[in-house]
Amino acid sequence: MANFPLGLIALVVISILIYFGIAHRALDRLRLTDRAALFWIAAIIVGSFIDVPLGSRITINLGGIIAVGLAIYIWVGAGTALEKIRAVIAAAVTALALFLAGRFLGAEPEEIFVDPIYIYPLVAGIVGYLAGRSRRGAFFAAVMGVLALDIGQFIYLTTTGVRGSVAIGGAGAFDSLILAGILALLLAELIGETLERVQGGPQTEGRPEELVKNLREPEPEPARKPAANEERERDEQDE
Amino acid sequence: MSKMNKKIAILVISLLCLLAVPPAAQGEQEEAPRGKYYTLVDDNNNIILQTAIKVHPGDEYISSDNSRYKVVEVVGETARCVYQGKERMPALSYSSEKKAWIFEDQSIPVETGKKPTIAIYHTHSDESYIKGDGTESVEGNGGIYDVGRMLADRLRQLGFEVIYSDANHNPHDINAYNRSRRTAMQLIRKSSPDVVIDVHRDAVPASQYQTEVKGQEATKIKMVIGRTNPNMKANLEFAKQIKSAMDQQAPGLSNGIFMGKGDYNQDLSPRSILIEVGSHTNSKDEAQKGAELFASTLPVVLGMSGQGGAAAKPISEGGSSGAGTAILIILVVVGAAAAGYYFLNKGAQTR
Repeated sequence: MANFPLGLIALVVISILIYFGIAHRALDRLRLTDRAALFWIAAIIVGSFIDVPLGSRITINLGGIIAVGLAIYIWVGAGTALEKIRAVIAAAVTALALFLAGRFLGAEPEEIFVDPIYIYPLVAGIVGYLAGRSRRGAFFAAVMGVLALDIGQFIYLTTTGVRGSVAIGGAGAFDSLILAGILALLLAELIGETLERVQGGPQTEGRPEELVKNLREPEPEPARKPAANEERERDEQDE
Repeated sequence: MSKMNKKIAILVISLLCLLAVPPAAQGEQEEAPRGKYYTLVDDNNNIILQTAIKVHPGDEYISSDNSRYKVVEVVGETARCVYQGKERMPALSYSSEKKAWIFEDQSIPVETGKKPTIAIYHTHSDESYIKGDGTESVEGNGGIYDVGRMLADRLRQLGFEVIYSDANHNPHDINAYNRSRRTAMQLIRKSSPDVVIDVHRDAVPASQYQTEVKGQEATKIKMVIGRTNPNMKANLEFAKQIKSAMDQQAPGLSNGIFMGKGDYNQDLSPRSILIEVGSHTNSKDEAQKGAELFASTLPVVLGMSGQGGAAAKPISEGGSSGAGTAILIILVVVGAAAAGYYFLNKGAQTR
């Protein structure tokens, strides 16, 4: 890229900035704080430059590990036990669906209705959303589904004896692993928000008070010094 | 069991049923011959092109003689095209001062003194040539690698920095591009290449690619640009420069530029192209000759004056006009998406 003219350099820089801007907004929707989302994005970008070999035929990109770590972190923080179970089922279904898509959908990008790089997020986004109507579920399903597919590829290579290796998350911040997570999340957001918009706001009747509370806009509380135990509780909740 | 859990159970069971279908019936994807390729015809039913790429309405093709066609209808394996006129190609002229062929409308050159770097990889690792490999497909190690290596060697001789990946991306299925995306990104990260080339071969009758260039038997080379990638305009401008150089330096070598529905990982670099070097029905030797001739046209495109890379001082301006349009399109799309997002969220609070 050293010999790119200015126009091309501007194109590359603007594309990258917009991508990371969107990725940051997307992670924001996972109930991470603004700063936490920025931290994860920065970690993924930095991690993108480091490949960790895990044997002669498999390497994992640090950016990919961080994305998987984020998916697990988000899964651990999921609202209810049911949401967690649904997320795991969604990830398994996503992996299975992606595997089948690989077998059935044809070999060339132009043979299918959407480009292969969007198949992962599309499948994971829909499955993740159906499985729990949850953005976190969609993100977890997408990242873990793609990871499972990569492990499948490793098994394929080692069992068939065909040469080659697997680079999990090898394209770093631009890898299908991370793209899938972010786009699946945005898709869940789009479906969810649109449906809510159509029905005139989220359904709150008969839902646990804990979930309903989180839907409300934060209202400023009267200023007062919090008691020590309240502060601790809030910290725990934030995590 | 809740309603949602039932839905999940049905989904899982139906997917498992699909898995139970024997592999032969699943038709695991291999490269052609699937005995199937598409024929592009004009209003008078003259054949414009045959390609194994699935053709969709909206696809475009710039033919060897720079006629631009747009696909308007696809019936079976025949694509009806409408003539769009002659494409304006970047004009080359000889500069006696620089002792080299240069593009006439070249603006603000960036001179770094660094040798241009070219990255080469293969998404479809099995692609092979019947004449030369004995078969059209070798799992994980097709004859296409020999063609790629020939291209890399010739480019090195010409003075380029070449970074070549022989990574295997098989099986040849829909996820191959997701796997090769990693290879492409690793190459980009490692050496910030000026050009990224994904080398393929086609799957059509040999006559589509058979050619003679300067008295030598070779296969033609077709460039493929993914029209659903955000860098499309810049990629196309670059491909048009290469085609101009091919027509000037190796007449008969170009099999045009096809703009198909796809991304082909060309979103990763504004100077990323996919080339089809012959078909499985052509001989590998001639495909290698084609690749060698193709390499010899790139010094002109990347502004390496003189012969043998003697003066490797690039004065390149590939695709800057395309870059401007691409930036504008990206900004408009992002603006529209942001407005939609704002609308969705505006006032969407709990009751």
